[in-house]
Amino acid sequence: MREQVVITPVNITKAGEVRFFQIRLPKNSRQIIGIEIGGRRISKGENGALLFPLQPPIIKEPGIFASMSSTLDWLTFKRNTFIGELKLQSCEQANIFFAADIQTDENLGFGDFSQNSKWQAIVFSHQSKTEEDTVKVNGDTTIVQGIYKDRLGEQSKTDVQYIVNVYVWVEIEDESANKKETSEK
Amino acid sequence: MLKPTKDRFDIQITEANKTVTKSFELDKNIKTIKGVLVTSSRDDLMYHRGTQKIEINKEEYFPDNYESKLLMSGVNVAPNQRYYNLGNVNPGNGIINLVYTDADDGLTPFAPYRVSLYVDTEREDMLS
Repeated sequence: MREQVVITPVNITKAGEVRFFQIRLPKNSRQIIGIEIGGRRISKGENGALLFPLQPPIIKEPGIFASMSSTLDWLTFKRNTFIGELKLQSCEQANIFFAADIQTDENLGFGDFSQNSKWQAIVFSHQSKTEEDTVKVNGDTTIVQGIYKDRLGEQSKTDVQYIVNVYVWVEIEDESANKKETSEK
Repeated sequence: MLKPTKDRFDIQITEANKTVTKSFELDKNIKTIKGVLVTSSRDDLMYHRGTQKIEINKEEYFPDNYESKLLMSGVNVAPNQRYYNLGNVNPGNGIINLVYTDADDGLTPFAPYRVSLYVDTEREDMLS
């Protein structure tokens, strides 16, 4: 038995877009064991502002209020940006087995007093180790149905182009190992 | 007796939107591969632009378009937790094939950077 991942990109181009998609599993899948989500933006917003992922605010130090503004920033709990909603459905008994709200993490540097105007917590410096969300779904469902609804563009009333990658980890029968066992018998 | 060790393999990304393929050979004394991790001289570029395929002993563990950000761990992750756990993989012929693709994301300006693949291994302790 070994693991394999099936990657399905979902392209979003319009505000509030709803995408239906299918993920075809390998024929020898025994069960679905995990789901991971990734993605990246492929366009800027209307005013050129960076939307997804959001950049941390640049701390300016204008004189006597410098230290106070820096202190408040790493103690400020910011609202995460809601990107979209994802649901996955099996054709077997499990039905809808995965539902997730995809959002950015604007609080990577919360409470980190080592930050200053020149060095701040950013996703590629402070990201936690990513693990897949564990699921257990029968692999007899050779197709997984998916639906993704954009919320980022809808809320900002802007067409934001981005890709959401859905990773489906499956356990597959190792045919070469099975053949070897059969021949040894 | 097996000793835990880490091996590092580097590739250079010198052109934007290109794929770099390189094979690395593990030491013959390595008995098990336990995990992998990717880092870069420009973590921001690899995070936003990078995808890779990783094969060990001709077996694919991460297919094309697997985002590099999913194999990165930040400084707030404990050192012992940073590696992506592969279980106990038999190195077989000891060849690791890394296929790294840089793709423009409309956010980051390209600059040449290094991508490093770290492999968490166990090898025979020659001294014992």
